[in-house]
Amino acid sequence: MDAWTLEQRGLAGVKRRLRREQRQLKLRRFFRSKQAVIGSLIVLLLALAALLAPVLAPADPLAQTVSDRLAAPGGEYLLGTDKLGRDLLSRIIYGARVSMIVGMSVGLSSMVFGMIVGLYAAYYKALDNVLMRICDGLSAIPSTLLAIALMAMLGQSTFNVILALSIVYIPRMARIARSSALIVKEQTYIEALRSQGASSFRIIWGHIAPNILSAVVVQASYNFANSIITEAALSFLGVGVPAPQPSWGNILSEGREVISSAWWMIVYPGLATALAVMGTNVFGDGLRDILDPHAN
Amino acid sequence: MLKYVIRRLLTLIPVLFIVSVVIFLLIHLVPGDPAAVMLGDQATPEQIAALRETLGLNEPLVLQYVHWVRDIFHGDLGTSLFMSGTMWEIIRSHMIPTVQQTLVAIAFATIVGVPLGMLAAVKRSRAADQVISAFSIIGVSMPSFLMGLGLVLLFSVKLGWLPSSGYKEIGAYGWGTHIRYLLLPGIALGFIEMGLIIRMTRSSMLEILGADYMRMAKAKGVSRFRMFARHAMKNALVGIVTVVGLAFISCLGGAAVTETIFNIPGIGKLTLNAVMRRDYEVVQAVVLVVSLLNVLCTLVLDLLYGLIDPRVRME
Amino acid sequence: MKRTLALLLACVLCVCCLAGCGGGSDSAANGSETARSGGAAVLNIALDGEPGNLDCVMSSDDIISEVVYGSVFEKLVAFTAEDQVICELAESYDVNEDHTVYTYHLRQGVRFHNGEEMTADDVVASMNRWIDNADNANSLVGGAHFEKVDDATVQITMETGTLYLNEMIAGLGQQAAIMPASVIEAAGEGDLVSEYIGTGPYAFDEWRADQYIRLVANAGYQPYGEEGDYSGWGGHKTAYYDEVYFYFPGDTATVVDGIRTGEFDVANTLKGDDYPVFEGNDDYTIFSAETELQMLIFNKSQGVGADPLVRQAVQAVINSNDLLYAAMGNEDFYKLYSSYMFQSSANWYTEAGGACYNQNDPDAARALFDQAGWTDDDVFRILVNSDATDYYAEAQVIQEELRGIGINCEVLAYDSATYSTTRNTKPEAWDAFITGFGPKVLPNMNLFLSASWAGWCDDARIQSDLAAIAAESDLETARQIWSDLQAYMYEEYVPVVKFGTTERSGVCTSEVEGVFMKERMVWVNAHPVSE
Repeated sequence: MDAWTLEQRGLAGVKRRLRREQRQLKLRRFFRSKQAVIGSLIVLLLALAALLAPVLAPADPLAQTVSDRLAAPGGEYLLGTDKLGRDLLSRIIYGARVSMIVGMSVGLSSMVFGMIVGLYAAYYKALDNVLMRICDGLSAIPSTLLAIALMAMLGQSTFNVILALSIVYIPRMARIARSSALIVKEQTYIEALRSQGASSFRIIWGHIAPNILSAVVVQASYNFANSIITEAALSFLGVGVPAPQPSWGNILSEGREVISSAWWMIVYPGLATALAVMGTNVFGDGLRDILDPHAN
Repeated sequence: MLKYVIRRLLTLIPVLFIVSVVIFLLIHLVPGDPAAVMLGDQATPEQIAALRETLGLNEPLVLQYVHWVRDIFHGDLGTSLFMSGTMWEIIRSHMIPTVQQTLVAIAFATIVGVPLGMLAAVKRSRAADQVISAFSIIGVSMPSFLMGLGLVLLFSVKLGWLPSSGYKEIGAYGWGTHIRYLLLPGIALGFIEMGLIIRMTRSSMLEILGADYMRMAKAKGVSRFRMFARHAMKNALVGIVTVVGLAFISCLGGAAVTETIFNIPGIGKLTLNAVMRRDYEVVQAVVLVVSLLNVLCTLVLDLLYGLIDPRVRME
Repeated sequence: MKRTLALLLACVLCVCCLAGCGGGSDSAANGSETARSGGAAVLNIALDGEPGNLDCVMSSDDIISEVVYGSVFEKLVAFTAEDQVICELAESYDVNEDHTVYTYHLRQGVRFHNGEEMTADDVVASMNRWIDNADNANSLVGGAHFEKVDDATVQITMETGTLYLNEMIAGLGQQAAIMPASVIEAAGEGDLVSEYIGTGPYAFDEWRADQYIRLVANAGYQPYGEEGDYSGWGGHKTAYYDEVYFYFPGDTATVVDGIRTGEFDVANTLKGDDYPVFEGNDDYTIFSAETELQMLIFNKSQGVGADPLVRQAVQAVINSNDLLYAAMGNEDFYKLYSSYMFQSSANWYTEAGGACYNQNDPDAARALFDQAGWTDDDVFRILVNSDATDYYAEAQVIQEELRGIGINCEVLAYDSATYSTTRNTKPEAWDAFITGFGPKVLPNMNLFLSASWAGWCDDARIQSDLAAIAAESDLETARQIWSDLQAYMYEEYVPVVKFGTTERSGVCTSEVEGVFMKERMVWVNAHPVSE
């Protein structure tokens, strides 16, 4: 074993150790951040509820016992029943599925497509103007209005909710990805890589992308939280997830019709929504503190 | 500086162009026919076809778009299929309730948020701070429609203290009734803003309490209160201006849901109704105007930042 | 320097933004100062929705007629509570032997709200606009039109006689309202009128979109009939209130709340779930009537609904009680009987074929589906208007009942605009839809039996029997034809599945009298109790 390889090994070892330490630091920061822990616990809880819905729910969320419609909480129905005599608790548990699926899909898709748009806009000046003007245009339209119009056009379905919300959130994500990428792009080592003749694809995805990841991930976690709210709002307005599939928003929408006689139709799905939004928001804050401590 | 503003204003042109194309296409691609809505459930296809023809809905889309844009340049934003009056009147009369609701929201957020934020900063890390911080987190993450439903359930249905919905004009009903009806929607809308204001006031206060001049003042024996009033308030202003600006922007579009819950004839409800009835030109005009206001408000905010905090450089 | 400039610019932009909104608020406030002038008698009515327009000739929407029919607009003839035809704007009418020529003599000195006197020209223009736009009127008169005989007389001559022209005019749906000819001309063919000018005791005054509609008393109104003699939609009318406001509160909690706090005097809809709030309380009057026949209408033109076996199968599975209880929330709010015609229409009520009604027999249904060759890939698609919460609930109950016997069922819930477009122009997209109909004086007037309306009841026997009923001058024979036809429809053809008839309720404070329900709310003769 000659000195050269030894040195190489030594260097690699140092690198490895540095990386490990950084990881540990992040983990330690994570566990020290009360917010991150509480937030991720809530998100985990919801994800579990969504996954294990068939096991957890005491009844079929679609099964109707019309003669027991709007039964008050307690007894056979722990949280009461809705207008068609369906078990509210089961519907809320299954509703978590819709919220989680929509939240995660929108978070992911806005991250992926937002990054693609943002990175290419940052890298190619010619593309920049076109892409960013389109993004500006889309984000100038207030997000709720845009989502409502998109849903009216696409028609009600869970997939269309995901599609519409992605269209709403991608421009905002693209803007963040672009501005982070612009800073990275100016750094000398990117210049160096370029003069060495590295392909644009490698520069963009191999060198710029990893460096903007934390900003993007933090934003994606907020998109996750926001899309849970917006899905509930859309379903509440009757343009989101269609019946009979239970979603917190459409349960609340039904609840509004019977608000004078059946408070449980508002209170329980409302609490579930509030908890989910709070959990995901707090989780996002925690994530930001860990990944992107200078952002705030 | 002037150059910067002009440049920002120039970028409005492509933005508005894109907004107009997007919204025009969107609303015209929505299935369903305004003529069918106008004629009711039992109309025959022939009757509907005849009305479509008279309304000019059978023209090619491109032509309809060109006509619309041409009319805009003549100062005509279009006409509603369902409402009388010019588009400007329709937008203005629906903008008033939205603005009033927003003002109540901002007033609520400031009156509750600033003192709580200050208290939290003074009692840093003590129980009061923890409680207030938790409260602000709840505030920030409470969707306004949920808050609205909760408020209706508690204050209207259970306690019967406040009306559950509706809107009363000042002119016809006086200030008391006017505000009474706007209280619940205002709080629902302002709750998020309150959370933000608590956060901002707290952090800017903490910064000031730790600043050198504060310690110096203390050493000199200048009353803490006076220092507070002079420096803390000035910094809190940054937060409040931001929040007011953001609240205004978010209320313009985001109030659609609270306006629906509280049945307030504002701009959000107008848009929602217009989408549901396929009142094409109303949707187009409102979204265009709201987007323009949105972009202008952002510009004003950016300028104000530069004023209050000189560290923010104009790009 | 730069900061001053920035400050200036920011201020200017701020002011511009605010001027757009703030400037408006002054003028708006001034404009409506008179909205509640002191001392005037005001009636505040809460409606369950906002009308799209007030042209009750062009649009059949109930809510439009609720606001303007009888109050703003009147017709040549009107129905009493017992569905007798009485003269309104006509002084009298003559019908010839074979019922092909109807002649109406107009009342003299009747003035429109714009001050013009009503002439034969106005009546001819109005009636012909109605015939041109109301499909069932048009087919009844066979495309014939009204003509002016002299200034006080109008006449229509049809090729084949009909007994029922006056019933058609007096009946609801698209109203044969009389308007000035000038207003009709201004609207142009096929379009809605832009001015609402009629002859009734109230005149249209103002419509603030999304807020209210205001009618004011018509000082120049000339009543007909004897004072105190008012029944159904016709008789002596008086504008007891100076102003009538219609509000659109949007949700039932607000309606309940508004009636209790006195903000509203009358509400046109009281949901079954809110019924207990007012029941048995002397401060409120609940008024109700059997108003609607709710049913599932199959698409007989194509798709799975074109197979009579499938239609019979769906009819077999339905539990009408569950459906209506889910939708109405109160057992007092609906009746279960098989007749397609209302119990109140004594001439046509029949229980023929009633064994097939409300079967609630999943096994028989499954057998029929199997016989029809139903596979797991087939889907039964129910189209429903998502704004109509009753129908939406019913669709979901049917979906669940079908799921119970392993039949795939999809509920297509669309907003009103998409719903009606899909229903009328895309028959390939749906297999059945749910809706309701008011009582009719004649079986033929039921749209769901029409060959040209959605559902397309294009069956030779049904159409020839209906034609026979319309042409038959002996009532007993006509009743027999109808009774046999209903049995045939229940047992074989199954164009629709009737759920039942529902009752509609409204509520008013006990300070108001004279509001009642007949097919829908009638308020035109409402008056304060103290008077």
